[in-house]
Amino acid sequence: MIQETDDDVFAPVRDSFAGVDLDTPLDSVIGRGRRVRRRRRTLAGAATMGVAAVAAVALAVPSATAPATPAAGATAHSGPAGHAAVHIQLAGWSMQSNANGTVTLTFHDFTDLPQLRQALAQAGIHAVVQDEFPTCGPGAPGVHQLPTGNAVTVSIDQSTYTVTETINPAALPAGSVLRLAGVQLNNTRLAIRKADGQVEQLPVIGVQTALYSGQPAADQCDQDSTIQAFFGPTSAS
Amino acid sequence: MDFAEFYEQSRAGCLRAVYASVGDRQQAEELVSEAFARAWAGWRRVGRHPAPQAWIVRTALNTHVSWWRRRRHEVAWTGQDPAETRSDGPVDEQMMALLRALPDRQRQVVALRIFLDLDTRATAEALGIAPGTVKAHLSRATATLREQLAPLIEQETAA
Repeated sequence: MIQETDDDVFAPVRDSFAGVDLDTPLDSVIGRGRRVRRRRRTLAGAATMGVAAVAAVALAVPSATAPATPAAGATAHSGPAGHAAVHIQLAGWSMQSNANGTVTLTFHDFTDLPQLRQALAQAGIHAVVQDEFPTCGPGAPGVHQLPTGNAVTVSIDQSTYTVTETINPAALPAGSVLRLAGVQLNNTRLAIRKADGQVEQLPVIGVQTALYSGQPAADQCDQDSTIQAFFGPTSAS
Repeated sequence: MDFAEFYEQSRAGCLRAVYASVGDRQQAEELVSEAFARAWAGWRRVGRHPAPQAWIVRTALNTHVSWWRRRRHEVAWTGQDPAETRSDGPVDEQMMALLRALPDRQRQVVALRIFLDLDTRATAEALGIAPGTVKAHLSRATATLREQLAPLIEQETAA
């Protein structure tokens, strides 16, 4: 509770905000909540597809991108010890194994998540990929966030709305888990001026990157140690 | 408590806390609306949270970190700062200036204390920092505000 001795300071601040109230109608909030819930159910459904989904991905990824065989024009080399080089090019993102053992992951959109999980595993990166923004619930017991240090670096190209993550699997601490979480602010619109001069309002989309000492809970977060980068709206939104 | 009741009771306090923290009315409304939508989607769990309004503010502030970075890009790209062309609302500009002058964490801690009446432990949980850090931030913020507010209060008293 507020100490009486501090209320001489707090009361004027509180009073000055007395006219501030949220105008968003309850129906609007619930409508947005329904969209969040639908997305969660879709993800949960995808997760229960289990072996069938994994098998489908295993087929889809090599056929599209030949991860075990360098893509046309790429230099032949192996990935991290015990792992094949990965060269994947999808509409939403691409992943390339580099000669120095690092992996470059470039995002234009946060889509094709089953393939992303598969590709990360193939590159020797223990990761969880989720399409939900962590909302800071109770963390998994004994699991804490780690500094990404040189293991993961993130850069944003502001001219192309591209987020590039360079991951060094060899520098990831033993047992650590990298988490990539999609972020979409449904009601925050970004004004995009298209080639024809028309302005279109689109939702803002991005990815949050965090490193944990073990498998994190879906809602686990620490806003001080998390890399968050937005690649902006996509044409499909 | 059902969600509608929670929303009715908490929306103003949560908005004020986030508005005071981020310093921009429109951003704050956006962030708080999004946080309430997420709370509705997970109400079975959030409704059992010991301080669901703190959950709302935490979620909103967590989202804000990303939004702020993206907004800088937006401002640079459009060549226009929306804050320059928009009134922030009914809050006295001098008061907002005082709050904006506080370091981020101090401003967040003091906002949670003033508008949600959260104690040290709940504030620490909401912001993901240690209780001792909350106490230190609150003490510094209170001292700064007291010093800065004194002339304003004297002005009003004299008037």
